[in-house]
Parts: sequence; structure tokens; C-alpha cells
Amino acid sequence: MAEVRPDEISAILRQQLSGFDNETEIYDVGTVLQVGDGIARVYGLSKVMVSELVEFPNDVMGMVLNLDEDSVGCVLFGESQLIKEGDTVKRTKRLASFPVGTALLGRVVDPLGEPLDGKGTIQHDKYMPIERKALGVVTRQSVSEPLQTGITAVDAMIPIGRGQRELIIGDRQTGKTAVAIDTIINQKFTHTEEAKAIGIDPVFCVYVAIGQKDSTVAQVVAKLEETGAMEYTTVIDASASTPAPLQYIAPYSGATLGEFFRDQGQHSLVVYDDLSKQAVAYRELSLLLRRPPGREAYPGDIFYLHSRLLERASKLNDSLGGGSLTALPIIETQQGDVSAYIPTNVISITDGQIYLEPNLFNAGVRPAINVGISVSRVGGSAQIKAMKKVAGSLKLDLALYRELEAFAKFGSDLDKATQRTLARGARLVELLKQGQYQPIPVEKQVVSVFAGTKGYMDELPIEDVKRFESEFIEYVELNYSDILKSVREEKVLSDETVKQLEKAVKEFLTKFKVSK
Amino acid sequence: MSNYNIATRYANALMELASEKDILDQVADDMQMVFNGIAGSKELRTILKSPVIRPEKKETILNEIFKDKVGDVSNSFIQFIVKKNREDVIYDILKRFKELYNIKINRVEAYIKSCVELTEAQKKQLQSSLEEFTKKEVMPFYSIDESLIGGFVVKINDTVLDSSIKQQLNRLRKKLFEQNDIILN
Repeated sequence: MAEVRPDEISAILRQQLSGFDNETEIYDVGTVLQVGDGIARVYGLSKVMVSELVEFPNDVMGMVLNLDEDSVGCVLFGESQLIKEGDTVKRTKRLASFPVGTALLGRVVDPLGEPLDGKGTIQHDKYMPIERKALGVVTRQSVSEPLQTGITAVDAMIPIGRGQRELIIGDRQTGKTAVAIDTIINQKFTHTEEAKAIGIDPVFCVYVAIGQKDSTVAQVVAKLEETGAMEYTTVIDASASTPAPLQYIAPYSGATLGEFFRDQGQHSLVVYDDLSKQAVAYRELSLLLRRPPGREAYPGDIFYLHSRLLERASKLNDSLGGGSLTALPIIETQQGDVSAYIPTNVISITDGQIYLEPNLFNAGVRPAINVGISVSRVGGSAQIKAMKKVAGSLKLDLALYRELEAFAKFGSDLDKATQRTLARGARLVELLKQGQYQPIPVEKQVVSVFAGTKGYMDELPIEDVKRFESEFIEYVELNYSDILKSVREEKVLSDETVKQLEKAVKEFLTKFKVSK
Repeated sequence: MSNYNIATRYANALMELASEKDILDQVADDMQMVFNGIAGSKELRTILKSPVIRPEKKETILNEIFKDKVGDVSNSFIQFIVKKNREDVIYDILKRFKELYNIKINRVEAYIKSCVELTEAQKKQLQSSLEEFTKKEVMPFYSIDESLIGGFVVKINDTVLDSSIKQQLNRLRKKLFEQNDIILN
């Protein structure tokens, strides 16, 4: 530990005191009438604003949520045991806000911007209110650039654009967080010189953990650090042990930080993991504030809670810099029940959803994306042309396969066409399997999807599909690097490239040895 | 309905009646007297709030205490409150009346805490500068609080003017914490 020398201290004190003026402080106060369960009722504070921060004794902060006729309802961001009846509450004249700036990248902070990673104070640029009105129609433009997740199944069939809101929904233990983390890791490419040269702007990431175990968050942070993704990522952590008010404001803090990048003409990706826990935290607050409960005991404004958050995701028009904020909210369902209150709400707000299923997960299809009911309503226009070209028949083939899957057990009794469809489908499903933390660059995705949808794998045994894919990509990298380069840089698949690709596949097929 | 609402209605009614009869100042004095009486006696407050004691009894008690000391209007107002079974909120009503009266005559109450007893000259100076600050007539209430170390604290409605040494030390502490990563152990 660094030593503190007495003369150093006095030098600092002198320096600090020189700028210290002993002015009279003028502030507004109130008195605590009632306190408990993280809620305080305060008498006085007559000019206080909704969502203003107020200061309680013992450095506990609070936020005003209810303005009643003769009292004010506050939520506490600290322990309510530290506060007692009759204590003085001070106004701060500052709305609940979050420090923003590039200094937050690489840090783990709480929803008020206080560091949690023990790396010292953060030299932030400024504070911005956590509740901001979403931008209007004239300031936006439609989604046009892709946000590559690095997951072939997503990038090929459920493409996400910058500025989109794509819901990740599924039961517990189906890999929802993994999809989001892979996406964050895959943004590493956008921060390289190479990406800059071909006109891909960097994407800054914010991962908001709400109501999760601290150990899970620590694992995520460790993984992000290991892969070098932490350099462009901020983790906002409101873990299960933090008071409900902090869990409630955490996503808004994340959105504020994302907006900071967006408003500078840069791109940001915010992951809210997960909004069902935030809804539960808000329900707790609302019930304690005696707001009337509605369906599933959620308060009446629970829809607005999520809609105002997700509406902040946007793609700005070029006159405002063309920045974007992409939102990846996560919702955990209970036993696949997507018709529960919160899932239906968020499904209706977002521009599509990635649906993860436990039976697929258990069958070894990972990521366990059910491509049949997963959609992306706006991302199609953001997909690169090359991918659009090769992935066109992918969704259709898989749909046909699912329809006929039940007949697969009849095997050779089936007619030739059906057998072909089944063979193709099984190989495509195999092809779309992908390991965790192994995002694939889009040009390689194009190459492998091309080989799959054109039927070059139909004759291979299913066990060999993954090996074929990786070895084929390697082969193309070594012998036909022009193909990858042209897809990466021009983003289209010209007739010439297609011919070359076909040639490459045919060549490789003759060299590929099946395992049995 | 909350006590606050009830108190506002009764206080407004009394205010209007008194203004109509042009005896507002006299009624205000009476009410201040009754308020002080109730505020000063815990037993009286307990009796008024108690549901066990019959209203007639409460009426008699209030009558005995205040009848000879207040005017007709004030007296009948107290009777009226008891008749309407609102004697439990009488304290709130009087408090609210005082607030409304102060607003009406453009006066504020200032609670001044100081470390040592202020001299008459200091009090005068403080009062006049407070009047200039609030642009209202100031009714000062002085008290002593040694924990301030030095200086004084004035509370007017919800606003606090704090120029005590205690506050300055607190502010200094915060500032030092904010700007330096000094590890204290």
C-alpha cells in the first residue's frame, strides 16, 4: 500500500483550503416522518422535483418518486437502518443522474456511477439525468448499418441493425446472457484499424446487470477482460444485494451512457440483463409506495417503465451525427410462458426477438435459438448484401426441415425429395451450432453458410459438418483469401466471387476425409 | 381525507369569517394563544386525541381553559370543531391557520439557532437582513445549539441558511474526500 507522508497531507490540505470559501450555504430541508423497507416519507421539501436526488444523514442518498399533498415519498439508495424518524433531509437540486464520459469504459460501476472495481475515482466529463425523453421522429432515420453479433444463426437469419431493439427471451439456463456477451466480444473488430479502413465505426458497449448474483457478474467481467472486450465496455452492476431502487434505475443509467456515445455521433450497444428483475424491483417499490397493484401485482405504469427505456434506442439522422444506440433487452420467462405480463409487454415494444428454448439447449443445439419464432423486424435492411444472398434459402430450408422432422424416423421409406430436405436441414442445424465466446466474423459466416445452403455438405455425415466448416474456412483463408477480403470490404457477393467459392468448395470436397 | 386537508378547510373557513367581521388580527392572537396552550400541554393533547373521553367532556374542558381568554368568534370556532368531532385534529387546524395567516399578512417565522446567545444589536441586524432576504416581515425565534461550534443557522419554512462552523467543516470534509484518493486507515 502506498504510504501517506504528513508533509504531503499538509501540502494537499493547503492546496484544497486555498480554494475554499466559507460562504453561507442555503438549502431546502424536510423531516423524515416514516422510514422502512427502503422507503421514506418526508414532510417539507416543498419545492422538490420528482426524481430529484435528496440527501439523508449518514451519506445515504434518496430519490423522490411521489409528491403528495402534505408529504413526499422517497426511495432510499442505501440502508434504511441508518435513518430514523425526525432526521433532516436535504435537497440537492440535482435530478438523479449518471456520470458519462469515455473514462467509464473498462470500469464496473453502480447505477449512480460510483466505481465498484476498486480502480479509484472516475474522471467523468459531466452528469446527465438518467431519465431523458426519447428523441422524436424528425431526429431519427431508419436502421441501415449492421450490428454483427458474431453468431451465425443470428447474423444470417435474425439480423440486428445499429439502433434496433432486439429482445433476447428464454427460460433460465438457455444461454441468454451468452448471446449478449458474444455480441459484446464480437464488437472488438469494430475498434481495430482494419475496421476503420473499411468504414466500420466502433461500437461502445454497456452491460447492465440487474438483480444478478455478484459471482455471475464477476465471471462476465473476467471473460470480457480476458477477451479484451472490457476496453470498450462499461459494466453497470445492480446486483441482487443492492436495494430495489438502484435495481430500478440501473437500465436508465445504462441508456444514459449509451446516449452519450450516440449523441457524439458514435455507436453504442446496451444490454439490459435482465428486465424481468427490474420489473420485479419496480413492483416492490410501487407496492411500498402504496401505488395500486394491477395484473400480477405490477403497477399500472409497468408498460411505460419499459417502453420509455427501450424507446431511447435510436439511429440518429445524419445531420445529428448519425450515431446509434442499440438495445438488447433480456427477459427471463418461467417455463416458456411468453404470454405472461412482462414478456408480452416487452415483445410488443421491441423490434423483434431471439427466442431461446431449453429443449433445443438440452439437445445440444447451442445457441439454442428457435429460428422459427425468432424474428427481426427491421434488421433485414441492415444485413450486408453478401449475407442476404447466401442466407436467403437458409430460413426456408430450416422451416421445411422442421415441418418434416417428425417423419425422419421413417428413414428410407420416404421419397427422395423428403429425404433430401431432411438431410439438408439436419446439416444446416449442425452448421449453425457454435461455441460460446467464439464469435465468427461475417465474411467467414458467409462462406460457411454458402457451403451449407448450396448443398455441398449434404453428402457428409452429420458428425463431420462442424469439422468440415472449420477446415473449409481455414482452406479458404489460405488459398482463396481474396474471397474473404472482397466480402469483408465490398460487402457484396459478386458473380465472380461465387464462381471462385464454388471452385474452392469443390476442390476442398475432394480433399476432405470423412471420419469413418 | 388526510388531516392536512381537513385542517386546511377549517382554517380557511375561520380565516374568511374573521376577515369578514374584520377581526382577523384578534382571532389570530386568540388562536396563537390556544395553539401555545395545546402545544405546551401534553396531557391536553392526549385528552383531545383520546377516543375514550366523551366529546361533551372535551367540550367542557376546552371551555374551562379558553372561554374567558378568547373572543366570541374564536370560542364558538372551538365549540364548532368539537361538535363536528374534529377535536383530534384541532392542533393541525391551528397550525395550518397560523401558516395561512402568516402568508396573508406577509410574515414568516424564522427559527434561529446560534452557538452563543446573540446580543440585542446582533439580533436586530440579523432580523433586518433576513427581512431584506425574504422581503417579508420576520418573526424570530431564538435558540441555542452548542454543537454548531460557531456561527448560526436560520430556518425559514423549508429553507435553511447555514453559516455555522459545523457545516463548513462538513463541506470541507466532503471536498477533501471528493478530490483526493487518500486512503484512510
